Amino acid sequence: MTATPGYVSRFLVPKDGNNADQCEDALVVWPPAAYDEPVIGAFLAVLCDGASESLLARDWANLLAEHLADRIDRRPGTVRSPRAAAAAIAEAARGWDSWLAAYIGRRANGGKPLAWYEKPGLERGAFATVLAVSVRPDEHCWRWNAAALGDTCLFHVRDDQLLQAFPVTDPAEFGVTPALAGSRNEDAALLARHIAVAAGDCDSGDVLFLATDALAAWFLAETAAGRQPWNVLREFAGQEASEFQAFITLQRAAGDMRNDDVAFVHFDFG
Amino acid sequence: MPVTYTAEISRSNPGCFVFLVDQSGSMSDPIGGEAPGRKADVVSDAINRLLTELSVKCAKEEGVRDYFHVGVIGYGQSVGPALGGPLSGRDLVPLSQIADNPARVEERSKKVPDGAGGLVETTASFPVWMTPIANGGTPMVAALGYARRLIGQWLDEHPGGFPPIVLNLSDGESTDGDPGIAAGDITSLASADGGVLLFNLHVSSVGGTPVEFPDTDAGLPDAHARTLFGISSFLPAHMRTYAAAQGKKVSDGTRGFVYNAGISAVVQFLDIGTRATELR
Repeated sequence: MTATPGYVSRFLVPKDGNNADQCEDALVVWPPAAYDEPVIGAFLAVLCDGASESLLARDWANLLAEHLADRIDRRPGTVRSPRAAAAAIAEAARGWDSWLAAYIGRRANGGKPLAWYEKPGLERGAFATVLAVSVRPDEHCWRWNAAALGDTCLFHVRDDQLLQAFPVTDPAEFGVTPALAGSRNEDAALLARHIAVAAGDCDSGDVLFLATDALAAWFLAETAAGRQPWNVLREFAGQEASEFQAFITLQRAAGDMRNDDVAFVHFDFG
Repeated sequence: MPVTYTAEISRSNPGCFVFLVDQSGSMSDPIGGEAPGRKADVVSDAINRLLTELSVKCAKEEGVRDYFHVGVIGYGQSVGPALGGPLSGRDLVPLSQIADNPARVEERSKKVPDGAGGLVETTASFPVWMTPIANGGTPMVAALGYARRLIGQWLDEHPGGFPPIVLNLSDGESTDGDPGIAAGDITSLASADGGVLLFNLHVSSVGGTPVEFPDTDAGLPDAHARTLFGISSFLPAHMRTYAAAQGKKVSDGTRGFVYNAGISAVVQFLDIGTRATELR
């Protein structure tokens, strides 16, 4: 017996008032399968939510997500302990200064040198949350491992029940000061103290949802109110991005979801 | 009871700051206590720091975002716009224009940690929008009336916005009457998200211990300080939380009042998104 195939879909929606280029959530899913393409081998996802009060948050979130995805692809154990995840994040931070030097060079060459108001923020660095997830099949089921820094969340749903919420379990816990990976923070021991890890097994019919904070907060609030947000979200698998965006816009307009970038990944097993 | 002071601050839903700057003749007197300088120097320095902090807070790589509309109004010999340079004569200005148009940018030296336990000298940009002025009487009532007109118009255009904040920087010696009624006229204005907030920075020659965000006027040194404390708004709950996070003692009675101390902390009371905070 082997694990049933998995199916993955992904969405990225900028906050109202911003265009796609200004979205500071980053999302890497590997392999990049279409929603109806069965995945039978290992797959992974990394979501990073760039902090809006930092400069170059989008670039740092992208760099961090890509670095972690590459690292997990080569070493799945990266998400099995805070220490291993912290080492990978610190490694990404070590690449920031050279990236930033190239960026500053491009700005100068393009006739738009740094303005006075950018310098303090660039000295402080860029910041982002991290949720890194590895999903691997064994003979009977799928095993997921996740590492999180901050409030980007994983939800594991089985038989119309929320089986596990990670790392945030209470909608009241979301705020404007989550733990963040800084582009100038190479202190792996400090990072490790703030990283949480979790694991679980997925049977056929189970679903994993990964979401940045605005959607995650809505998900937990809906669950707390006795509703089943997973049934709403799984309907978007295979639908156009515009359908999902319209849904997010509707929730924001109703005041049920904070106006923030949304990154969303949906793994459906079997 | 409706939840207040929770409106999103964004480019499509900006906030509003009006700074009232005392430019009267008495502002040429030295500030009391150990800090050197004239009161006029202290308030113009405070304005330049506030505008710098606001700009840095709202800076993104494409420029400063217009999360706020900002007015700087002087009162002394006359009452009116007080920004210098290209923005001279303007009332409320989108923040990006403030950031892009200081009268000048000075390079000042500062000492920063060298990473090995010592300090190393470096330079930091210090933009200047206004220079000290000390001339004439202290028409604080007229200045509060000017702010009320600006804010009333702004609220007509942004009825659901985060409530405007008026920050009055003065030595408190009003010469055109008791500012209490004019202050009440301002704080009786409201958006759907809450009442307008009036904060005060009192710079005084009397000296004594600097006070930040007190909940009583018991320790204040004179009647001017007590007057300005009395017209200052209570800090909304989330601002009290941020003040407490900065190490200040707060209670339900904490007011937006500072005596002979820095006021730029108020910029950090405002949420424009996820904060860039280091792990500890």
